[in-house]
Amino acid sequence: MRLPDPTARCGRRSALLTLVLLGVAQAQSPDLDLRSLATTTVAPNDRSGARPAFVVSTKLAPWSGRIHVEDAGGTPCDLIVRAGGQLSIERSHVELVGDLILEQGGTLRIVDSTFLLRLGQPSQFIYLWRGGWLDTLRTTIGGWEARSYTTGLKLKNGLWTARDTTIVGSGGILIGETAAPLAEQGGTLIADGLFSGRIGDFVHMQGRGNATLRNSNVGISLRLLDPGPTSSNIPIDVGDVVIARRVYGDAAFHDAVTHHIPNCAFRLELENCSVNQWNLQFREAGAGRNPRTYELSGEARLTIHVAGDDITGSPVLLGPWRSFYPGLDPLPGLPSANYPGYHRIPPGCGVRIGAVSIVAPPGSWTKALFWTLHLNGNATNFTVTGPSRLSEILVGGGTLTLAGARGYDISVSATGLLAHSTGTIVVRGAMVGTDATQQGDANATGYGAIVMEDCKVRRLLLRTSGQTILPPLGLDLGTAVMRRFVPSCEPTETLTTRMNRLGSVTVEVASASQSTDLQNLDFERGVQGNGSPSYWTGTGMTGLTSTQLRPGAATGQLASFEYRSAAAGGEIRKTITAPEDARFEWHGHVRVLASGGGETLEFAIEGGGNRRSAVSVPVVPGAWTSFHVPQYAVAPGDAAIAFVVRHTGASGASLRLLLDDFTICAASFWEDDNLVNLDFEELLLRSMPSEPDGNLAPDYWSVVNCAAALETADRPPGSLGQRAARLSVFGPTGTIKKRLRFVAPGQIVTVTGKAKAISGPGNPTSFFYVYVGEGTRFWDSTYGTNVQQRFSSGTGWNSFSIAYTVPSPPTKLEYTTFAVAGALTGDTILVDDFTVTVR
Amino acid sequence: MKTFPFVLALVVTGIVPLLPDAAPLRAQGRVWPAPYATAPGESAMDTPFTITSFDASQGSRCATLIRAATLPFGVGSVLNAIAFRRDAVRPDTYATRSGAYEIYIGSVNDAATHGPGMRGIWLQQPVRAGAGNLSLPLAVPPSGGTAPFTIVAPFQFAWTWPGGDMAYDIVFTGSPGTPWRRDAAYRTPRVDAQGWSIGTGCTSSSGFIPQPWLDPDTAVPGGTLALRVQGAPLPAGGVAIMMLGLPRGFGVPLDPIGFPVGCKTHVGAFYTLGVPTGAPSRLYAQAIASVPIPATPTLAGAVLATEWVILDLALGTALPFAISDGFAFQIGTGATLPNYGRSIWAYGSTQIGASYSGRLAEPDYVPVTEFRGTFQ
Repeated sequence: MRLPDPTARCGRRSALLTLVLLGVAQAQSPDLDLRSLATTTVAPNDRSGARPAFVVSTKLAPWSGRIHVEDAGGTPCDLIVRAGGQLSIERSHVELVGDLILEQGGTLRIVDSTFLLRLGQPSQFIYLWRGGWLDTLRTTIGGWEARSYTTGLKLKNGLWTARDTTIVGSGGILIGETAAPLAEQGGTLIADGLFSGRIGDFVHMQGRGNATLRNSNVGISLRLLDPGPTSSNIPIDVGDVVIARRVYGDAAFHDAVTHHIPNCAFRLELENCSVNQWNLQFREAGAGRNPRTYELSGEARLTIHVAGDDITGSPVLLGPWRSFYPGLDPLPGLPSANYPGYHRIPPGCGVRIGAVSIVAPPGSWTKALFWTLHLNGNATNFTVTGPSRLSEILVGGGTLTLAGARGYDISVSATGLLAHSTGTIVVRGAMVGTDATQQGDANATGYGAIVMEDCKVRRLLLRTSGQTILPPLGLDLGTAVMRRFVPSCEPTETLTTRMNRLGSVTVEVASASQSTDLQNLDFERGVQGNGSPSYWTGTGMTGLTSTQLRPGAATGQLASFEYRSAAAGGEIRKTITAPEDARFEWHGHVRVLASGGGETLEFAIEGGGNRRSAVSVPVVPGAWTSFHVPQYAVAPGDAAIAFVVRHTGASGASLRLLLDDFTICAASFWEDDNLVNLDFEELLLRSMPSEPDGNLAPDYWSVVNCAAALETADRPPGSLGQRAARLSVFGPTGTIKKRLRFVAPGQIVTVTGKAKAISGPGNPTSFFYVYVGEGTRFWDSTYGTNVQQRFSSGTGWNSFSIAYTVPSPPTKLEYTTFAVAGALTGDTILVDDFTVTVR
Repeated sequence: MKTFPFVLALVVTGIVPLLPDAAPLRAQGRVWPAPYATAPGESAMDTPFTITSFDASQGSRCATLIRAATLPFGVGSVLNAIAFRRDAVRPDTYATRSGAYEIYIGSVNDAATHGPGMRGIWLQQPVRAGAGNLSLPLAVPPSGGTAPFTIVAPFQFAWTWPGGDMAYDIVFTGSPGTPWRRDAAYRTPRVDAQGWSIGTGCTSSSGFIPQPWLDPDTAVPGGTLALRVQGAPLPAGGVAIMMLGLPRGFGVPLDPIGFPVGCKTHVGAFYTLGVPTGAPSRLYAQAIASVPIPATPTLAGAVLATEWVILDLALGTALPFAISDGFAFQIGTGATLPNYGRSIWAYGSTQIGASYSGRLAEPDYVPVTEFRGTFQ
């Protein structure tokens, strides 16, 4: 039953009825995918401000179908609902190329629909409440999540009633702003069933508005201001279990507050809600502010934001941290439980930044995943050193320095890293950039500066100026510099630059006659006049570019390098700098063309004090073969490390080699595409990217549906090590695995190791499989050349040796996987002493 | 059939019998919702077997959330397959098609009220009960009655219903093509009230124009109408007078009798109620007035209006009251239906447990499903 149109009874019907095409035959099939329908375009009927707009100021007939609101050619067109305007959108897929603005007295109702802002870039368009009412029911609303472009939903003044509503592509539902004019300090959100979808972000309680959420699952962000001189210890419960009922606010002012926060600007009521992530914003943390301590309880997924003026020094760890993290591993800079950070805040411990101390209660741990910093003031001089995970960073004055302690163990995922005004950001020994689904963005604008040195770079845009989340200064004289970086081994990693106006972006790389970075590992970039390959230093040898390629060389590869001995001993080498405990592995391909019979050939990674990792290759003329130099861990005394191809015992030009397609990777503990820690003797278990909720994996491995622990008692007979890995299975396919990216078609990968299954309570028997196979389909026994072997419980430790022939494309996927997987929930698998050989 | 090896292992060890694609399944089944065992559904459901060109690379998925009280079997029943039939409302013939399916099954918290987030559906990790190739047969419209259950998706992991609300989630990946629609129940949904502004109020001393609204699901025959106002002047603890009546269609100036300049009323009131204001914000107050509505079905569709007059001493006018916007609303229907459960679907998405969301159906729009197995 559909209710009659009350306005129609009054004889008022908008002429715009003819503009919107309805008539979608779907009465008996409500789930029709509206994206597949023909599009109706709603064009502007007004020009309001800077650009065209479709203004609703009367009651319109409902819209339905697939609708684009845009100007000719897809140029922006705002949708504005004004006083007297009433629009209902039902069973529709709406893409608005512009802002949605709800003014006082305007009403927009969206039911059984998808409503998205079609953004051309992040934050290009917004939702803006200026006193109007938005009512959503069974609706998905937000930005264009398909492209990971986010929008802001700015509830400055007005009302949003949301039922069974999902937020996507969101940069946040922003409930007001305390520093804004009165009419923009906050509206009202009343939700019964509000859910975070893809890129759902948070409900940001950052103004003086109010929100009541029932039966919802969203992220919550609280802005916490200086509470004044009388408040010293403020408990904040961020438990992530279902919240029966809780009201945050200032009990001296707001109604029915159950969780009092002194000087709290907002009121937030939660009833039967699950908060999937908390963000606590500690504002006014700088010089001259009142010292206060926040005691955070609960095991929620938590991100912490600190903002203040003229903050100096470093984070100060509070309490007996070493009693919880004994040993020599570095204590955290900003304690983060997400890689490369691996520290939860122990009971009774905490960290102080400026005027704000953040502590865990005496009886429980607190887990922060990310930190964000907004620092202003020319006296800012703040340094963070050691394991930390940071995301958004804004520095508007002074200097912020971020420095890794060991092996790139501080991360700036840099979805928004901005040095503006006169701020400077210095980053050393860090992992910068973000994963394959987004791009890191490091931007120096105004007179800001960014300097990055000795970093491991993933997807990162390094730029000066362009659009930012801040108003432009007028001048763009930013400076961005990248020095001595190594790329991540992820195949999607890139470093791109963009320079606007007067700013400068500098990426320092070696010239062809220098050998101080990792350019020309594929020998596609020619030979120097002295016979050394470009970007390599050679002695006792000469060489030339060859067109002989190895089997399976990538499309587009044109050359290899022919190495010829010119003296009894000779070499080519590269020398780079890297932080302590960075782990380098080296894979490559070599073919011996000619030999005088007495030569030796080795590939070596060398540090200081005769520290080295090397592999020798038999000097026997024949076909292409591959080599793998085991990991070298950069030691404290290593001023630099070298990658060396070295021969001895040659007689003149007796030795001729072909070299091609070297891969040099800095392995990190949170990555699994390496051959590090095959024997599980590495000390630590840390959280992997695949386990965002904190399930632990052995370093350099990934796990799925199981949690790992170090096993010291039950180890394989005859094992030389001290540890094995114990996997507690809690899902249908508990798995531990590694990936091999460097193998080539036709090569044979042989995996050996030892494993044991233990049945869980109530399970009659347990079992596991050892797999070697292609990519994510490694488990599929019918795919390609995948191989597997099955073992049962009750048979003690089992030794296995599995040989796998790498297939050719298209059967070959991105990489090869080896894994131990299987068992039932409650079972345990022990694994130890893997070896991997490739020939 | 490409079979996850663990499945084979379980079969070998005798834990769970494997049901190959082509094996004849026992005809014994239980149809849910039960009234549709012999009667066709009122609707059709495209998802997940209709693959449009938008979804060719990823396929589609549909989760069905089921209230425990409506299941046609008892606690401890062991499910080993699920079957579907085509709808009886469309005139077109559905062409044969093949693809791959996965089925996840498990317990959920509350099938009746769950929202559209795919994340968080499950009480615990669901069982990946079945996976493999699936052939959609040629399906002509049934000539009276219902179509046979010709799409059979066997489980490789049998699942025992432990009691409580449950859900199954199907992912189907195939080539794009013409629709193949499942038979679906579609009960007439309840219609909530709607409201809209009929005239602007005037700014209070707190700087806001008070804004009325209502809880849409309360404005139904037999319900208790919850009328609210946001943006009322501070301080909280003042008095707000709710006026209920009919919309005037024009504003009557109130400043001649002492209200602030420019204030108008847009409602011809026949009922007033004074309530105290509360403090949801440091900026403004709020108030709520509850009014019972007679349980007279013919009230559905009626249009009423409300307006609030709120004490605001700081205005300094002869009659120190702020006036809210005029607000009309149309009373909805109050029918309460038996609630089978809900459907959530996502075109173009196959990843389980990811932070994406599907489209949430209206209550009681669910696929007619035949469960197969051993029933208690």
